[in-house]
Amino acid sequence: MSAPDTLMSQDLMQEAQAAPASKAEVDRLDFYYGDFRALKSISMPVYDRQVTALIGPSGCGKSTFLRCFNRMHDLYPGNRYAGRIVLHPDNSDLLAREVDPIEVRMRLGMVFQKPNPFPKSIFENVAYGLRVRGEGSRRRIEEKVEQALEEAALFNEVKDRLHEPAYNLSGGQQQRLCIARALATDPELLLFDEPTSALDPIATASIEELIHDLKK
Amino acid sequence: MNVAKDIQKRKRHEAIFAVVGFLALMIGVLTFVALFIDMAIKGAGRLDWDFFTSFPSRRAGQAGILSAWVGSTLVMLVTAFFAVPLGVAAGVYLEEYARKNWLTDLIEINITNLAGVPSIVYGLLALGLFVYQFGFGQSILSAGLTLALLILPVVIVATREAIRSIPQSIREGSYALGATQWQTVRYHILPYSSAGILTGIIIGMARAIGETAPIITIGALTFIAFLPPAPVTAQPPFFSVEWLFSPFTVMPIQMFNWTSRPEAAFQVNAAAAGFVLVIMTLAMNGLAIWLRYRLRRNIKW
Repeated sequence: MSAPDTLMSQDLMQEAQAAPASKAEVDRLDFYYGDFRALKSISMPVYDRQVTALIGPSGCGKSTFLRCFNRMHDLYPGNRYAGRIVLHPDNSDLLAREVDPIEVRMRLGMVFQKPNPFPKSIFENVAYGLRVRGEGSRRRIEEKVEQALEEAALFNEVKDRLHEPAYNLSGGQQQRLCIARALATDPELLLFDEPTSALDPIATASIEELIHDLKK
Repeated sequence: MNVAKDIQKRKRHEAIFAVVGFLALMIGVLTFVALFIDMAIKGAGRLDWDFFTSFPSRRAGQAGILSAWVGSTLVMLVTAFFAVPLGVAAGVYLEEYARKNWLTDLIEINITNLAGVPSIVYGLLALGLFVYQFGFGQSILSAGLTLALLILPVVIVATREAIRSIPQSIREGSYALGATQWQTVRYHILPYSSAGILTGIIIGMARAIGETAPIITIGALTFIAFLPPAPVTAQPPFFSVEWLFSPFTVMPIQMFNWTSRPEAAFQVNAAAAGFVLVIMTLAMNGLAIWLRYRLRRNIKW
């Protein structure tokens, strides 16, 4: 699979590189919670195979911005977008009314602030994205799950207990499981919403290292 | 010195409440225990195999509860068959699909209120609707539908409460992977709320099995010496729904019938039947507790 690009809302260093290809373009994005305008005319590029990080004080709208990408705001009534987020290479506007948010979420992966594994087995957590897409072949699913766990640097730790409940894992492992869950469906862009804020420094370091590896 | 006195005084108040609270608790517990033991002792002499396999009779010593417990069981089956899918679907819809506005607020308040409507009112409604309008007659089907209506609010409320305890992060995790709303309900919401839903269903059923007023209203018999036709037949299609339209009686009505007889021997029968009914109810509640424990064991957030 192609390595996904990563967009993070926490302080990872931005890599300076010569003329990287654009993966997505945010174009004069406004966002409203009801009448409250939470995001004001944001325009920025997101580069292919790069980690783009957002830094800002708590409550400044990092998560709100990130959740525009995969239309999470559509789940709640009264939210409204203006402007565009254009995803390359097909130049589709993720925020367009005629674009189904489900399609957007199938293309973009998301990892949340607090690890949120499903109360199912480790295997079923990673397989879930494939199952909702209707993947029927057991062998395909097994391959994909193993591959995703490898990429999330978790496979060696859990290969003997794939069918045990995911909540037996430590916080850091749970977060890597959530990354594997997002990776299993080959997302074009990965959204991280402060993925290490609920973790200890060692687990944080391993997640940050993992994000740097995923860039390639 | 003054401080010590003050503390003493306040502690006295505490002791007074502890005693009052304990007495209040004991009044409730001891009353039930005394009633239950009294019933068990009075009815013990009649609790044998024959009691469960005999029809009611004019002679108290030969009378049994066969038609009553079979009737109760069949009515409960019909009740569950209608109340469970309707209640769960309505609860899921209200909680996961319906937009939150004044209309859903109104529906919410009314469902909660419906749970408090006296059961005789449901009986009258059922008499007009099921027995006469739909022509189901004074049958097991009518009784099952009546009790299903009665416990529907309980099932809906239990479903909604169980669903509400699922954290939003689980839903967002599912949606973020491209799941539809139905997939999220099917793979997450229903499995994770099943313990709470089942508990609600069983508690509703435990209430329904003891209901007397609505069943009498729709015209259950008080003396019946035959069983409904068997659901399995020798000829194709090998099953029959005739039992649904059969006349019937249920446990509490059988009890009521016996207590209203002048002969003392029938009081013993009533006590024995009451004991069986209480055990049935306790068993259902016990099952609810066990299921909740079993199903929740694997779910943590």
